Amino acid sequence: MDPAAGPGGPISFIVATWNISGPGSFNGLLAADTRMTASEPTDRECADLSRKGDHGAFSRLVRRYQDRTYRFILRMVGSHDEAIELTQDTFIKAWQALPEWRPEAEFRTWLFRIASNAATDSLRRRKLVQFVPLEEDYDVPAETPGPEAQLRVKQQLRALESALARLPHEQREVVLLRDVEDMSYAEIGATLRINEGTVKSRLARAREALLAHRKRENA
Amino acid sequence: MKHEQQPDCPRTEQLSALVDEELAREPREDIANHAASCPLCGAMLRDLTEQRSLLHSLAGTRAGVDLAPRIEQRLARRPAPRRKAPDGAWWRGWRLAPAGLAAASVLVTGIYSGALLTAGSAIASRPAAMAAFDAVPPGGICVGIPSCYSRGR
Repeated sequence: MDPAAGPGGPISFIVATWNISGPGSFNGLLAADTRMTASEPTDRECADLSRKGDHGAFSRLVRRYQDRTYRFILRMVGSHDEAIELTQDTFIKAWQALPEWRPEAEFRTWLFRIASNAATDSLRRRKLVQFVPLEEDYDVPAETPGPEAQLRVKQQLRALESALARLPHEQREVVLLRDVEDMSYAEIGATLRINEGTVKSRLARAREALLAHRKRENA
Repeated sequence: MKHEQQPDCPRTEQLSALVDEELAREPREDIANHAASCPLCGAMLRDLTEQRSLLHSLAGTRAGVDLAPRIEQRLARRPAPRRKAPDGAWWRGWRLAPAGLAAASVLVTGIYSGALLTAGSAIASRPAAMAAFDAVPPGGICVGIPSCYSRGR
């Protein structure tokens, strides 16, 4: 479901037609982002080649995951420069640890575990959490009609970023992995090495807190 | 009109899992049916769904730079990744055994010598605050010779 707004009216998101079996699913949205053509090698193939020292195959993995890794780290540490640095470090660590990677493990969850550790270490080192700088421009869904509605969506996204930055980092990372990176509970559990029950409860607490922050900001 | 939470209202955790389609069929249908008739849970479900939709809009953030050349440059200075050889790893530890034994013997000798030096000098080793309870009065020089003291005579 994409955000949509009525012309001239308050921003509203179409959830009235919410259905437990269909339109509530976001799986198709990210699938478009991760889909590969038949000729492209899979993550596993690239990782296998990389393990043998193939820099080209590893660069392919970097290009495939650099934006996702960057945006996850950015929202964890709150600084563009640091996120760029930590994203590079994540891939360097992944390269070094590739011999330990087991082919039965999903490359994406394995990479995000390294990214999560890098972000957590960085936060621990400085012992404070900076707020994510508000972005100058957001990609408002193309179907959002009119400049006023687009402006409102941008304001909502800024408020959301701000509220997100106020969450404890353990809660923030589950929200990012679920709602931005579209990972399943099982994948999040594998990434953060926690069980699915913990993912479920932590995510619910995070979402509740996020709603409360947003309501407070709107008030 | 303010709606009160009912005893059969599901927890937020259940509503959150419903949004994610991470519930088994039976509880999923029960909770969805409940939310359809309960204004409080229905509103919460809408809020959670709307928030998830909004959060998904953040997936458009890009690094704005291709990191692959930078990473490749850094990797070029490093050797190819190698699995840590499990065979012989224990033996590498044993190669340090002579140095470890030497360090341990120096440590033991040091502790023993220190103990010899301090043995018997009870006065010097006791903290000043304990001097009032000492058998030897402060400033006294006799250690353990009964004739030095009057014993109340």
